[in-house]
Amino acid sequence: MRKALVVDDESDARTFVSTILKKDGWEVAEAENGTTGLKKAKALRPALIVLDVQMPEKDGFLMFTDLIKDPDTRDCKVIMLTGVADKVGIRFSGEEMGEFMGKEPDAYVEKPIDPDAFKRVVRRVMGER
Amino acid sequence: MPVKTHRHESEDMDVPGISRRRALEALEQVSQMVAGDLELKAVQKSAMRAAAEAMDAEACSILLKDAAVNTLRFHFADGPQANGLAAACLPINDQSIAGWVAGHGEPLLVPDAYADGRFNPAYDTQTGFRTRSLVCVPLVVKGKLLGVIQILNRRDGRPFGDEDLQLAHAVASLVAVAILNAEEHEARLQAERLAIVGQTVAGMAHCIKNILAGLQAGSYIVDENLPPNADGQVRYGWGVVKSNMGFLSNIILDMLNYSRPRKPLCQPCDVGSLCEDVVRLLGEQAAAKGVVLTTRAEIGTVSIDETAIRRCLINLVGNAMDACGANGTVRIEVTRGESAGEFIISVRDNGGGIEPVAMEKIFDPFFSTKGGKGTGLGLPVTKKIVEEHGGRIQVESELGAGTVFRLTLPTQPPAKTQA
Repeated sequence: MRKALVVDDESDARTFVSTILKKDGWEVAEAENGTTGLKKAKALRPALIVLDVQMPEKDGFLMFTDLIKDPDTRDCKVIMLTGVADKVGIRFSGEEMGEFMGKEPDAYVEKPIDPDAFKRVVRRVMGER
Repeated sequence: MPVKTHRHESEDMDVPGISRRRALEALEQVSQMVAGDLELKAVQKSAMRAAAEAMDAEACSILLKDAAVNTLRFHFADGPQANGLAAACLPINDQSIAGWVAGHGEPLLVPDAYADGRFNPAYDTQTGFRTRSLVCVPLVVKGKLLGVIQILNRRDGRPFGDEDLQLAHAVASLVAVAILNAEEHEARLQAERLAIVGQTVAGMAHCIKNILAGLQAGSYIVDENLPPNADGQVRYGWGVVKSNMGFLSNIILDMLNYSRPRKPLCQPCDVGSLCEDVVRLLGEQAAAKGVVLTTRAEIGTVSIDETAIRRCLINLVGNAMDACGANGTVRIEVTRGESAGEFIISVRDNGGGIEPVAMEKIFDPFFSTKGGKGTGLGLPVTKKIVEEHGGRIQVESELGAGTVFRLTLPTQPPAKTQA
């Protein structure tokens, strides 16, 4: 079974994404921050990581920059969950973040997540139709 | 248009019309009223009364233009038997004096109403008033026709003269300026109110979105785990909760979208599947209304902000379903654009169509024909999103036949600027 890792500090949001993925046939692990997320990513080598941008301790961007530095996790597909822009007041720009981090996540999904739209993004990222 | 002046001595009693001295006095009075900070309707009333009084006239009225239906409506009427005119309206054409003046943008001096082929005696018949002589002048400001003013019947029974026309013309200019000032003041107030609402909403955006995310997450989990044999009442109640949550979420997301500029986050998206999602999402609601939703796409993946375009489709399809009765059909089609690099999403319904009066206002925020059921934000948000994508929105509608909205969008976002 394909493995996915869901990293989000809000447990409701984690459960939501996990439920969508499980219903779509994924085996799902969860982590509540970037530090635990990185450890689990290295140990489990998931095909897909769903990463919330805004988390205490190590946020999604920092975790992503670490993921792409490590050869073990560099090839994991990453979907970034956004929504943070509304709090800091600036629109989060994928391109600019990509330049800043050296590589862009495979996709961005905006919260609140729509299950159908999310599944479609997962299929696109995984190269399925 | 300049009004021709007479050479005669203004105090000459043999010449019909107002004396120059009285005209000047009246004009001074009216300009003070317009400059004073009074409520618009009060200014119009007292200005017209002052002019009518100076001209020794029996009655006066202001008719304002309703551009959407090309008619004049009585805005104010004063004099004997003026009651009952409030709701009256007349088309802008050559079938009445006021209609002619509005249509041609020229003033008219009519010494004998019943001898003039353009005079429409219907209002006399209706009110019992007997029009003899009248002066009618267009209300024009910055080249825009706002309506006309009319002054009727000298009390001494003599016809109006050129001097009366001149005074009426000057009063009309002042009244027109007063109307324009009031309109601009109202527009500024409205803009300020909107700005305050916008700031408040934008400030709460993150908090509100979190709550929505939680509701959505919780309901999805309930849905996925609802036992297939769940009690009918439970299913019914849960359906009610979900559909209302959907409405609430639509309103909130529209407000959030409208409240701030937003650069689209464009990513590859199979636009056909997106349309199928929307059909699935609204399918139950459509079925309940007896509306058939279909979709067809002739192109595949494009680069758009999927969340935002989805918002547009939910709004357009929602409106289309509301416009249809039972046996309605709503069709979403994705086609190639007229030029390469563009595609079109069209949403077509066979509903009642959009009233011409409403057509001008459909993209104005908070304009709604749905009464308490609409926020008046769906179409403004849709237009905003489409324009932020560098696209455009068009609408065609025929009463009784249906409406089609067309979103023309670039297949790729406008050239990426190198930082």
